Amino acid sequence: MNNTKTTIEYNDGIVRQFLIAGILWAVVGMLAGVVIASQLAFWQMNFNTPWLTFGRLRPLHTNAAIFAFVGNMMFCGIYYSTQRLVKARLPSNFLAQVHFWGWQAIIVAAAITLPLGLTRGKEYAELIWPINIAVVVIWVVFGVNFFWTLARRNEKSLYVAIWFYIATIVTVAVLYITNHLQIPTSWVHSYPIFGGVQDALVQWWYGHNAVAFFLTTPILGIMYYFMPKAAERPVYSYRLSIVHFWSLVFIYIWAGPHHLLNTALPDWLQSLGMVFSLMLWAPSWGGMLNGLLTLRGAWDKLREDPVLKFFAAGVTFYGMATFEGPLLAIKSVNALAHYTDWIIGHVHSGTLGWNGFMAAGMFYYLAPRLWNTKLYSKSMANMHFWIGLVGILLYVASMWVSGITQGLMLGATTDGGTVLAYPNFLDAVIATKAMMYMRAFGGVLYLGGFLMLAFNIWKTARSGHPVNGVVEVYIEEDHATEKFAFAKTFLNAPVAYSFALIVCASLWFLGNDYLSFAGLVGVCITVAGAMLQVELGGRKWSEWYEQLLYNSMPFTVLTIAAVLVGGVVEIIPTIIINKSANIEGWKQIPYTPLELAGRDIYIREGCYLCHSQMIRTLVPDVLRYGEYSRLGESIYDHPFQWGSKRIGPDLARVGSKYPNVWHFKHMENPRSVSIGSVMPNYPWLYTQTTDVDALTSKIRVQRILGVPYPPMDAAAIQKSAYEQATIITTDLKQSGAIVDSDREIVALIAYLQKLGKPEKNAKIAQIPSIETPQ
Amino acid sequence: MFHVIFHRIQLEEWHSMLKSVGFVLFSTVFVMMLLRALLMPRKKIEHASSLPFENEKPSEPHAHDQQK
Repeated sequence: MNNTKTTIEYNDGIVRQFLIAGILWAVVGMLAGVVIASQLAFWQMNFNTPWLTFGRLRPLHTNAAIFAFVGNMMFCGIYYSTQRLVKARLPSNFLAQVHFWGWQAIIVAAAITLPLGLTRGKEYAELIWPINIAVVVIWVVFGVNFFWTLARRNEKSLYVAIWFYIATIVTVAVLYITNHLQIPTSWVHSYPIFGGVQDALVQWWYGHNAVAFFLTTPILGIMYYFMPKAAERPVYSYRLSIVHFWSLVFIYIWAGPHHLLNTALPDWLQSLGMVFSLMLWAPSWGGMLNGLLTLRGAWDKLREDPVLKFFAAGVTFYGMATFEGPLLAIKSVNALAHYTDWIIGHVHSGTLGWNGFMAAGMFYYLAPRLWNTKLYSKSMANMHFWIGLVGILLYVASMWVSGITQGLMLGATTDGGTVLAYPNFLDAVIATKAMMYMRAFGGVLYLGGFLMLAFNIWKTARSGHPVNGVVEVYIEEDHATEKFAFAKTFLNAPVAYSFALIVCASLWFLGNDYLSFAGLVGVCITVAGAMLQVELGGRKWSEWYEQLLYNSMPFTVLTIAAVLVGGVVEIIPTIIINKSANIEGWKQIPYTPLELAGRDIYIREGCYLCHSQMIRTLVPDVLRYGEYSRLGESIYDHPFQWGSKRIGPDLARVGSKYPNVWHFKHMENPRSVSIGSVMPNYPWLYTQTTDVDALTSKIRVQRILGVPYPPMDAAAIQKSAYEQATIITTDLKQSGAIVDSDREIVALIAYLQKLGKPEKNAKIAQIPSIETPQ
Repeated sequence: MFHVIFHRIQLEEWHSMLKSVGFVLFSTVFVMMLLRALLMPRKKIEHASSLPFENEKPSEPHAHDQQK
């Protein structure tokens, strides 16, 4: 074997760029968080201004925190560690620059469009379709640069951190594309191709795994690289990291349905989501312990070293969040916690504690190395740690108290479980007001800590100058031929035996009678054959796995397979079923043109962020809101509007519950009819006109998606909208509320009054229709 | 009565099988990876664990190193 010595200078310029961007967007995202937390404490902070309302700023906060802050931080860590772990410079600075500036342009576009109310109405997937395309393009650019780096690497083995990066890149691509399949109605509006329960399942398959593969796996990769570096000792157990990786990526993808427990989601999916969530405890804690125990013998350093301090606390929060997640996925616990602030607390212990602290630790580690200087102020970094920690604890504790209070109050019954103890939803809002103040204060503290980090890093950079890392490596000349030996990796005996074993074992467990027996025989023959071949041929099973580590592409394919199998098993059966035959006897009646326009206004204002449209199969839900939601009631909802949080009450059956004038007054000033409400005022709905012209294109797309609208031309659509609007405005006038029929409030009232009015017994009623007990 | 309210239909009969499919698939992957991790030669483990510690120097001497 011929070895050539060469010197490699890493591209650390791109690392610096992403580091700076990560800090900048962290501050923006956290500031948006503080603002919306304040709005829940003081509704006046919505300022009666469309682009400053909670419903529009909340997506800005979540997108900034996830994609802008953690995204940039992740790219920073991946580019720095990957180059060093594979001993190769990024092959294309051009692609790196396209990646960086493209990602920043996407973030800026999001920051402009979301406050303008341009949204797809799906949580964490709000960005409009032109931006979605840009995200996919830039992600591909990132992927090409990453895999190109692996192809040019000078280190045969792929370290476990690289595995997590590979899983991130491929899975995020699959998740993002699937959940963003849509048909545009204009340059800024579209409808997702999935509707109702299918959309709910795809959305939370995406939403949950955005947490898994955007907020967790890349950060775990960063943990596996930076914690050993900072602690100056190898990872506690490399064997454990192997089990951690494969278990985590395989299990995580199945857990999405736990966001839809006790809803109209089919029962088998709820069971799968709950059980796989519980199984997640093991790999998550395995990884957490692996990270913490890496600090063995270095605990004393935590006293002085802010980097290790942040890492240790970050991993601890990872452990806490991943303990809490499966706990919340237990159906009975979920019945209490879902739709409450407990979930918000859980999410923030992950993002602020795990992501935020890991980011801070990494930034403090990198800045002196990237600018060839020492950290400007270690004591300021330590101060940041303590302020941030107190901030998180205040935030999370207040959300726990608030969430459990909401869950208990809204679920409380008397008289043998037949009467609600707190029939007024606002009782729970008022009871948790103090927690809203504490949450906002906690957020301010955490933001303050990050501002200290920004100042500290800025001063550090100013005191040094940019440098790139350099390493001398020995290149094995025959190594290049092994990198993409795809066929050699897959077409061999171990793979064939493994495949046969899976097929036979499946038949054994799942087949009936003869099929099951045949499966058992097949398992025995396969195992015997494999053992014979190993014994007689003097082979080693471990060789197969080693090959994967030398060939990044087959490894990537296997990772995709491990990740996709959960999605395929859960989503495909839900899509291929006969939709019209599985509606639980109740079928949604398509919206009229005016109602559809009102629905788009509802989505634009982000109403779904505070109001669910899903009455769960729980006694308190049924007592409070009416009959539980049937599968068929949202069959034509593109996107679905089941929601994930109840800052206000569920609206699934709000239609006809109140007169038109009640809604008119409520939207103008919610406190005029609901004392104690924290909902913003919506004065612009009374001055802005409904975009009836856009309905032609919208209804055309709805028809393509399978919504049974009769053929209607533009004139018929306008006539229908006008007639319905006139009926509403006439009714309003009789109640003393004067408004023109072309105003948005009229369309919104039309939509709200439609909710919960399905066609009952529409098809074969598979279960009897049950009236709500009085 | 409330117990009737909580009745959910099983959409298609064959869907009930998918829970078992999930469990079998996971068990297979887990057992294979567990065996692989346990049987991995110590030398390879040590090599892999040491990958983050390959020598590196900045294009100029690091001030943070000098600080030590």
